[in-house]
Amino acid sequence: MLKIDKDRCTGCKICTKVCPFGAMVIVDEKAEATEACTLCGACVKTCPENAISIERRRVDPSKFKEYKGVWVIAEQIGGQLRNVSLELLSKGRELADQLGEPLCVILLGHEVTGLTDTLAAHGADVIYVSDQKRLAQYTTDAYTDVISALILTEKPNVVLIGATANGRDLGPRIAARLRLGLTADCTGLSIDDKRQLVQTRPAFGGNIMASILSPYTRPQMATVRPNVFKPPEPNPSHKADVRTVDIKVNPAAVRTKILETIKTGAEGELKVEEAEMVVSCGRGIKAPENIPTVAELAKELNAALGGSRPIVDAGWMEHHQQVGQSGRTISPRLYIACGISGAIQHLVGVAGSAEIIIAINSDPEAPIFTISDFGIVGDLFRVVPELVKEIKRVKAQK
Amino acid sequence: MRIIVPIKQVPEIAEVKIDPETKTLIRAGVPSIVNPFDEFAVEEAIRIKEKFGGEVIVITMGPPQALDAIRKCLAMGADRALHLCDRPFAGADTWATAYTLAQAIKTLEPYDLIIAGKQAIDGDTAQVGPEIAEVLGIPQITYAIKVDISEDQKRIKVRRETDDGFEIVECKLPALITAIKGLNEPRLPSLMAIMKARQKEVKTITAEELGGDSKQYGLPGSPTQVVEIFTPEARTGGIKIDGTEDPAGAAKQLIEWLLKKGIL
Amino acid sequence: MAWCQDMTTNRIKAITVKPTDLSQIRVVEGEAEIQEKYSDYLSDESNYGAPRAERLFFARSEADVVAICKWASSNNLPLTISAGRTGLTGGCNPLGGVLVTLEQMDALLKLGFDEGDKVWYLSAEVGITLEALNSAVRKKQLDNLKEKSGLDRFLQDPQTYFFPPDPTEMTAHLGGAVAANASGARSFMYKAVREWVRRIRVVLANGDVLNIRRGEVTSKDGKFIIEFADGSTSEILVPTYTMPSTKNAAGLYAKPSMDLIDLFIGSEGILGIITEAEVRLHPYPENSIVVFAFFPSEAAAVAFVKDIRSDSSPVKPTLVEYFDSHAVAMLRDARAKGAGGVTVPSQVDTAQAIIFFEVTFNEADMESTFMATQELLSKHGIGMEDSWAGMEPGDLVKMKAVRHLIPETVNSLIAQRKQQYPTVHKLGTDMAVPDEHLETILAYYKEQIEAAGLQYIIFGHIGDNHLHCNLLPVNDEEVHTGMRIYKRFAQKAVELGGTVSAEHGIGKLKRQFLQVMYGEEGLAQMARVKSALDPQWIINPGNMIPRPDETLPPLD
Repeated sequence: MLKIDKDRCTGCKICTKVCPFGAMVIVDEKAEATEACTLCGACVKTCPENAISIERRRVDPSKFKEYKGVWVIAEQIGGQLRNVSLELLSKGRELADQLGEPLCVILLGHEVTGLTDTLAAHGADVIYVSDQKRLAQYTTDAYTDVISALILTEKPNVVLIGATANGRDLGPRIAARLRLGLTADCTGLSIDDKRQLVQTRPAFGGNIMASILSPYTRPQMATVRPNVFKPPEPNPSHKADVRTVDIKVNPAAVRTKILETIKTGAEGELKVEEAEMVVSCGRGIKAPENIPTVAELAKELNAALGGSRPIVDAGWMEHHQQVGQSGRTISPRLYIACGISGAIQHLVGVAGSAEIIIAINSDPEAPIFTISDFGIVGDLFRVVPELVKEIKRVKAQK
Repeated sequence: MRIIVPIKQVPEIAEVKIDPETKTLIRAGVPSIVNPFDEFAVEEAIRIKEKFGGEVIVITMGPPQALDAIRKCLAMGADRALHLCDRPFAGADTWATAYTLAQAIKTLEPYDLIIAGKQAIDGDTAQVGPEIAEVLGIPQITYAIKVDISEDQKRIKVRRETDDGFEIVECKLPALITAIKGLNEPRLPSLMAIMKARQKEVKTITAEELGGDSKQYGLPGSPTQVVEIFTPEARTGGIKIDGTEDPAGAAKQLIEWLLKKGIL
Repeated sequence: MAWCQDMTTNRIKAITVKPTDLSQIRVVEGEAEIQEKYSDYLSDESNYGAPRAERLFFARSEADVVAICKWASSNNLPLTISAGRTGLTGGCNPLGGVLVTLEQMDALLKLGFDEGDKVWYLSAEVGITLEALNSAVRKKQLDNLKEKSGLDRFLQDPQTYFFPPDPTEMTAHLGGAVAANASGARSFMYKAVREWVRRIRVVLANGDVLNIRRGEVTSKDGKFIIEFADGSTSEILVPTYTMPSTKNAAGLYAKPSMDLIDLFIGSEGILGIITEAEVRLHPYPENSIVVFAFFPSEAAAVAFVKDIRSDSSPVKPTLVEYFDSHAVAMLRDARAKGAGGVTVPSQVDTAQAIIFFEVTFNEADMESTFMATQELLSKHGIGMEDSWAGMEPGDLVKMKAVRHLIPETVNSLIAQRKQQYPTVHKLGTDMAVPDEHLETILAYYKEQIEAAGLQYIIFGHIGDNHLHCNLLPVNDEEVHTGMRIYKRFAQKAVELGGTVSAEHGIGKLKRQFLQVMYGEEGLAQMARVKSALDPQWIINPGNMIPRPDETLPPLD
């Protein structure tokens, strides 16, 4: 709990100003924490009188020593590994090396043993494979049962899951079953000097970042945002110890039944959440028939084509193309916003995730320019075709 | 059917601003709203009730002001509400929140369906729904965009959004589903509905009244701990050029810049 | 009582305030420099004309303003005041010379309780925004109050208070609001700023200061006498025109026996620079409910308005706003297109008009208020479900977003048309008429515009018969047609005993219309008042009335 030394407190109000949760108040000229306090420690760091301290629950760390290994839950669909699984292997490798522990992959599915070579080449030391028909498609129950059982017996130190739709369906289910702490949609992971996993994630629509520990529970679990980490270079000579998991899924335990699977998006269409470059358009496009203007730029750059919320709401683009806070999480190297003025939800959705942001907008005051690295004030219908021309010219020179 | 909808009162993110000097959130004057995903959940619950009869019970954990959010849901058409409001509940992470809500939901047995919002827009974790389902031991179907209840009211069929498209998933009731945008269009309360909402039952529940394992409540019951809060390095606008007169020149400059950066 | 009459005076003696040393006041010099780095200070939201200034002063105190006035008058330089720049008529856009921003004069000065009137009052410097003032008052966060003597009692008072006038832009400055006699949606109940001002301090062109307290200086025989600090006097002849009985923001306030403070309130800054104002505070209503009522016809909506604002109405709304069938069609269209995330109520699909109103109530009388409101709605064909009501902040945010859609859509329509015809612009009226002529003026608006075949929408403060009629021309020719119609509207409004500007004021943009209202003689009388206080015509020149060397172009 938060302790305030009333003798030291001068009622200077600095803590009320720095508290991100508005939890500090001054009562009778002394600071007090309200129930909004999350023990984040912002006030502790800034109190000029050192009057604030946090008393955290003491834990006996000895029992944690039994928990070893950094686990990555691999996600595959129809025998194809998702990118995020490989991304987790690169971060996982780093964490495992720092801890001096093995990097393990949990691979569930049906007829997926062929993937073990890829996983090994990308750094897995140990691969636990559960290959059975009842795992062919993801179901909450079957996957939770197998992975929870495996965690209970193998006692890993860290479990990382890609924060995909299914990853975020699965993670909390396992965490709740094992009464573990779980941090959602992390964008940063590191090991602190006490060998704890520091999980960093955005909150309040990306306005603030929080670093989170799971000090009392093992394994430490996190779902991790796709596209944040880069996949490692594969090393075909790296071999893994492949272990078959002997946990059978009981059909009665699987309470949901998938009746149909419907794929959207054209075959081979680049997904905004996976693409290295995203070209996206907003209301400045004016009418759906103008989208090809921007699509051509995307095509020329081999970029995914996205749209802001208003034009997806208007039905001019598909839901899965929506970029911004309420849309897909993207993390491209290059993001080009054409005719997007930049509502706050859009800004927070892209500001923290794209490496370089280009904005093209006719309004010089458009908020998008406050976050763009390179902005062109101008009519997108005149600028974008010129960009396409210029890219073609550069390509031809090469 | 008895349908339970856990909801959360959240700040309107679009109105949250950052103090340019202290780099902290300015919360003053930011209105509180019902988490938008929860509104989809409430609306769906009301529609199911309108079709099959029964009742919709809203449940929330939060400070006294959360009553505003409850009233809003009651005005939309929920029948009654539970408000978990007590100091020991404060500071809960997703597990402690889910555990606490689940304890309260157990007091409402037998229920048929729990509809939660996909996630709250302040925390964006999307964890509380599945965690409640696990604590209660019922199946879950997340990201529902279309919901059908069988005529015998024993099964639910959900069109759920996945990373690659959709799945149609079916299970027996009771179950928990989470609602996403597109599931429905939440109704707007009329004058009379607001008045009637004021007369509906809102039961306030303290930690002591709830019972259960009180060590699992609130901050002490939370396995995760926030250790640091910081503001991400704010992006600032970079180069801005005027391409109104000479779009070709502007395009050329941009491409040169990208080449120099090694992006192209 | 006889002796009372003897107490009143039409004379006021100016105060001498020691000016700051001019070199101590921050100033930016050079037209180019100001244009480049400080262009924000040059225009309000009208973007009127080609504003320019050679010097930009940042005044921090009344003494600074005095120094600047003395210097400007001795150099015969025009001096324009820049406040919150939320105006719509170019009032703060300088036409060369000196520009003074008062934004740093934002101190809260003193809170007090008037035992006679039983009201709380607050004095403040004029550069404070209405937002900041209201936030401090409502939350009782008044640590920065300069003179704290009344603070304890205010904090102990369990009632919450506020300053009711609310021009839509709450970033407006207190000084600007007083100078413009600002009003807004809730002026239906709370009236314009004038009602709330108890005292002002004004720096005159020569640097003299007047401290004018309401009730202390009243005109006698149509005159005020100003005694300047140097002993000379000046006579102000109160204009003799008759003001409309409606909400009005056009021209100087003038009545046969009037308070001097009223001459300055709404004077658009032409008589002097207001540096401090003391305003009355009002108990903040415990609860309020905002209702969108969807009507099957415009006539039904107007009939409802007449009912709800009548003396016999059991419901006393704070604001009553109207959207006509064209505005509703715009919302319908926005809804069909998704409206960029704004929740547009489904009732717009069938409604022909919307009345948007707010009713305040206490917990105790909630039920009776609601029942009475619903009864009134039912009488005009609005069923239990044909309304959208909101009390929670979240609902109000959504409602605000819907209201915003109208001007937003209008602006984007005009912006599109501008690409083809760069001179196309929206024509928005600001006229108001007396209650009995509401239907007459509405019918006149529609008849005139429809005959000309222009696109339009009508919306706004119907409670005060103050509707914003927006003409949306598609090309240059229609702009001209629109201008002609606009002029006819102004004439009609005046003919019906109304005003050419109920809210936005005259500024530099609408001076011809003031002439429509008060004629050349009226303008000449206003000019005489101006000359009496500012013989060199240096303060805020060009606002409201033409400068002596200026001839207004004819309206057509």
